[in-house]
Amino acid sequence: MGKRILVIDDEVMILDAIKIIFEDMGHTVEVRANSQAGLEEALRAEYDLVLVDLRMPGKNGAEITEELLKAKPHTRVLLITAYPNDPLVSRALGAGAHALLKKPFEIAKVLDFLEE
Amino acid sequence: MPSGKDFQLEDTIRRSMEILQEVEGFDPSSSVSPVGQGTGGEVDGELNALQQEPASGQAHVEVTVSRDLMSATASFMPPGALEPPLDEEDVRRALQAKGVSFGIDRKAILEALRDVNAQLVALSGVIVARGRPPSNETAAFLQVVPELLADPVPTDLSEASVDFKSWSPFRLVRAGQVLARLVPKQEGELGFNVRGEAIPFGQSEVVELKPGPNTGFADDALVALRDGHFELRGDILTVHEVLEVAGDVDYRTGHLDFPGDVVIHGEVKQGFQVKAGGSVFCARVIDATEFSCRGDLVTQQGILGRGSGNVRVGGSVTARFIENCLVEAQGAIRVRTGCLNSVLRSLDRVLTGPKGMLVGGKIYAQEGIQAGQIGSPTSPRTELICGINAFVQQKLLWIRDKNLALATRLKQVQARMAAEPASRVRLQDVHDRLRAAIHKLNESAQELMKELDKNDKAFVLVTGKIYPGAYIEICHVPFAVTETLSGIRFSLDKRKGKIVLDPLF
Repeated sequence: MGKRILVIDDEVMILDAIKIIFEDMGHTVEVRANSQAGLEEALRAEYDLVLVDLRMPGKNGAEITEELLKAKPHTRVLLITAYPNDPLVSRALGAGAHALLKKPFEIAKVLDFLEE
Repeated sequence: MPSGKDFQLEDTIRRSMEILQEVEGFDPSSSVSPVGQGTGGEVDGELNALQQEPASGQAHVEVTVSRDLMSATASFMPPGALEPPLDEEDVRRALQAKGVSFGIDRKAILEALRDVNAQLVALSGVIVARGRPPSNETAAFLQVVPELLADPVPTDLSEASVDFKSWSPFRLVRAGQVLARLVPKQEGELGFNVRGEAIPFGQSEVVELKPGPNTGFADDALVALRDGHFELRGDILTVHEVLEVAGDVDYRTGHLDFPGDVVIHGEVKQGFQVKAGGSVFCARVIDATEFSCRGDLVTQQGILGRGSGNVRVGGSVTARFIENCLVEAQGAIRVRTGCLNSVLRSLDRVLTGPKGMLVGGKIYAQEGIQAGQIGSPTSPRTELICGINAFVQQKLLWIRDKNLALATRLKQVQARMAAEPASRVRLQDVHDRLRAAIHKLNESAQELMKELDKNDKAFVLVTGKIYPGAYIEICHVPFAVTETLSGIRFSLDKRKGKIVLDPLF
C-alpha cells in the first residue's frame, strides 16, 4: 500500500529523482526545495515519512526536526547528510530523528522505515 | 531400610520370639492350658494355625510378566514347617501359567529356591526370565578419524595463550594417511519377548559419508591419495590440493591463481594478485592488491591495503592486524591487535583481541562487533553497522545509484519532450524504456529488502573505551557517541526503536 513521503532538500535534481523513484514504487511523494516551505508542509499535512536534508539555506535539518517533532512527535524523520560527522547529526538524533541517510539517500533505510 | 539378609534375620527372630513367648508362659503343672481351657485337640488346632500363617503361607511361586513382555519376575512364598520345599517344577508351572517360555534364568531360579527353602523367607522381585531386544540392521558407513575433526583455528581471541604461529586453517594430510574407517554392515537380529514371540528389527540411521576428490579405499579405510588439505564439507570427504609457496608471492611467482588451497610461507608483495579456490594460509604480511579465496584466510601477521587493496573471502578471516584495506568475508573477521581505517564487511561477527582496536573506517558485521577499543581521541569517525546483510546493502546502493542516473535522465527527457513537442515521437521510446528500467530496479530493490536478514539481536560490545566520533547503527537505528564511554554494550531496544547502553562492569 502506498505511503506518503515528504522530501525537504535544496538540491532540486535529487528531489526530482527521489520523486520519480518512489512514485514508481506506488508511494505519494511531495517535495520542497525550501526549508521553511518544507517545515510548513510537514506541519500542515500528514506524512508517513519525512526526509530532511541536514544542511540547507534557512533552517537546517536539526531545527526542522526539533520544530516538527515538537508539534507532531509521532512523525518519522530521516535525515539526509553528506557529512555524518556533522555536529548537527547528534542534535537532530537527540531531537528524535529516526535514522541517518547518506546523501543522496539510502534506499534500504527508506524502504525499511516505510515497511514498519 | 534393611537389606535382604537383615530382613531374613529379623523375620527369623520375630518368629522365634513368638514361639518362645507361647512356650515360656506354659505351666506344665497347671490344669489350665495357657491358651485357655485347652485340650489336646486345641493344641493341635494351634499347630494347624501356625502352619497356615500367611508369613510362611502355603508355599507357592507367583510370576508376573512386565507390560512390555520383556521380563518376568517371581515371588516365592516359603514352605511351612510341614510342607515340602519348593522345587523347579513349581516354578516351571508358574512360568507356564503366564506363558513364559523364553529367556528363563535357571540360575536365578535355583538360587531363589535354595534361599527360600533354606531360610523359609519370602522372596519377591526375582527376575526369572528376560526377553532379548532386536538388534537393528546397520549399513556399512565411513567414520572419520577423530583427530581430523578438531577445529584447527581458535575461535576465542581472549585466550592469552593463543599462539598465532600455530594457527592454520588446514588439516594437512599425507598420501596414504587414513581419513576414515569403514564400519562394516551389521545384520539385524530378531528379538524375542519372554513369551517367545519374535520382535522384528529396524534400520539404524547413519550419516553416509561419501569419498570425494583425492581419496580412495584401501582395505577397510578411506585414505588420502595425495598430500593435501583434508575437508569434510556436508557429507563429502575431500583432500584438496595444496599449493605451497616456499617464499614470497612476488616477481618470482607472479600472480597466483590456484583452484585449491594455498600455503604461503613468506609475504604477498604489493601489486601481486592471489586467487584461490580453497583456503589460504600466509605466514607473513599480505600487502593486498587483489586477493580472493573461497575458503578461509589466515595470516600470522596482517593485511595491508594501502587504501586501494581489497580482500574477498568466502569463509572467515583471521589476522593480527588490518590497515587501510577493504576486507569482505562471508564468515567472521577476527583481528587480534586492531583494524585501522579499513572497511570490513562480514555476514558474521567482527572480533578483536582483548586489547584490539577498531579505529577509523567502516565495520559492517551482521551478527555484531566486539572490540577492546573503538575510535581514538584523535581518530576520524569510526562507523559500526550491525544487524543487516552488508552485501545486500551494497547491491541496494548500486541500485540507488543506477536509479538516480536513470531518474535524472528521465527528467531531462520529459523536459525535452515538454519543450519540443516535435521530439516526442523520437523520445517516447527512450522515455518508456527509462521508466521500465527504473521500475525493474525498484522491483529488484524490494526483493532484496527481503534478504537484508535483519538481526535485531546484534550488538556492539566494547570492553575498553569508545571515543566520540564513533557512530553505531543496529538495524538502521543510529547512535552517535558524543562522549568517551568505557565497558559498554550497545543493543537495540526494538520496542522503543532506540539504541540502549548497558555497562559491562
